[in-house]
Amino acid sequence: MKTWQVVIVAACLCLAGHGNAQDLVVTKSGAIKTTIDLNALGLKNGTDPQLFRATLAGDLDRSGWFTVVSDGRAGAVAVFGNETAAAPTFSVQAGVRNAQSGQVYFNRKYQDNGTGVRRLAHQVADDMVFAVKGVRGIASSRIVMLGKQGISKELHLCDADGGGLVRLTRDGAVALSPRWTPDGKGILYTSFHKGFPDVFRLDLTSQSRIRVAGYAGMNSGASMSPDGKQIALVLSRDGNPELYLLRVSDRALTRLTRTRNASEAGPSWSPDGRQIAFVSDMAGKPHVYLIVATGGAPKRVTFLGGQNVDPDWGPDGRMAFSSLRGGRYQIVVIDPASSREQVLTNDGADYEDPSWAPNGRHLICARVQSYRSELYILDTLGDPPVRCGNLQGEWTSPDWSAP
Amino acid sequence: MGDRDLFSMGQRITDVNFETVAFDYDSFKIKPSEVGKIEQVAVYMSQNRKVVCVLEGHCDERGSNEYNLSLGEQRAQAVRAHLVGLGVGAERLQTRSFGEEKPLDAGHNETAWAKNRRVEFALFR
Repeated sequence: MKTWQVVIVAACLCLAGHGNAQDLVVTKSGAIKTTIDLNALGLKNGTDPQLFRATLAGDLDRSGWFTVVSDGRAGAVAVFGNETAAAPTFSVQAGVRNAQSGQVYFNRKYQDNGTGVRRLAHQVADDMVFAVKGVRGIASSRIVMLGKQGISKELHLCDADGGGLVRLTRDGAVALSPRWTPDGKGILYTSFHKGFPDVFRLDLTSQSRIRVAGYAGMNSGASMSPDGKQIALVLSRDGNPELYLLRVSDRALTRLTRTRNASEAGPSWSPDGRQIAFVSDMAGKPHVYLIVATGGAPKRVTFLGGQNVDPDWGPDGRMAFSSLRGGRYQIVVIDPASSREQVLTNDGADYEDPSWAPNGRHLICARVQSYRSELYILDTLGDPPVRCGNLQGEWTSPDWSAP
Repeated sequence: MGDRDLFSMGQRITDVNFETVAFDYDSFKIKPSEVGKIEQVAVYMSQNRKVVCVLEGHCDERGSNEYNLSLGEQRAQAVRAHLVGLGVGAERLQTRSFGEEKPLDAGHNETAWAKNRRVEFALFR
């Protein structure tokens, strides 16, 4: 574990890029940050400009790469700019410069084209992260999750900061396992609204949905391949839950597993679309297995822990899953090639259902304590788990969008 | 029962109730203590030829919701296979897993969990 931390610190220093060593701060616990201030961002008083500023500052903090300093203090890098037009076409000229050298990383004009001031601030934050750190930001990405409403669970959508909450379904039924399609335009999920667990695809643009799989028995866990051509899912049409591929063009089915005395669940594609991780209890308890998408023998990849469930394969090839260890579910990240493990949680709560952020650094998951579930964001570079925004209510099964 | 619309299955029978089949934690194996319950359903169905049955599989709240949906289905399928073995036509039996989503007892202890790991018989005429 010690060695692993050293590796992380070294990685952070490399990624810090343009920053000088003295510009980097180590927070109380967690990853190394660059200080940033918004002193030279000249915005008018009013709802929109102040919402823009607060959203941008929050996004920069949540990016994991910056600590926003306030009260007139100067950071190692400085946001500068000013408001160039008021709502409804709220516009800003914004940039970032190195406070010491004066080097301007970028300076650009932004205009709200109807998506709102918050989305505009998210775009600016991501551009700043990319300009200063050379890595992808997460502020513009979105999260789909389930919100508990009485005995039903409805699909909801929010921004990565927990704001911009939108309810997507009003079925009065249980839904399960929402997952983004790779193009970010749709959501695959399981719903009981027609009585049986069937798989549906919700198109976010048209707000329409179609039933993707409604075979006898169970239809669940649908996950679309990175190229959008196939859907991995679990069906029990042949007598017990098995992993199948459904070709999107003609709905042809290919069965991938043959485990008469075992259940499969939760498929997740490798970033190159060649392999699928899934859960099977063929060895008695649920563990994570890999199978080549064209078929073959499943290969077990998890051996520690009483149970290993809900695998999610991240954009950089690492896989996260929920592992039962010491009586609690913890989020564990492994590199399937080396089997090297990183345990991300250990505070006495249960952590379930991890989903990678598009930056390959953060994850969102459900944190369950005293039988209440809330969404938390985890950091593979060491920042402590933080609650996702200020969402009220009970939330489960988050899935972070790819784009 | 090719049609999966519950409402086309006919009238739900509410005046005949069978005991639920109980399961061990993380298991879909039918225990010797539960066999008699399934046999009673087989007898009833052999005497009532127009009755169809939905086997509803459930789990306790512990663990992954998605895996529990599969485990509940596997439990329902295990009861289905047992009924077929006793001579009930497979076409009269449908499975429906609720995973951990419909607990019988909302408690968070072993007594509640034991009640919730079950297969229920929903009869239709």
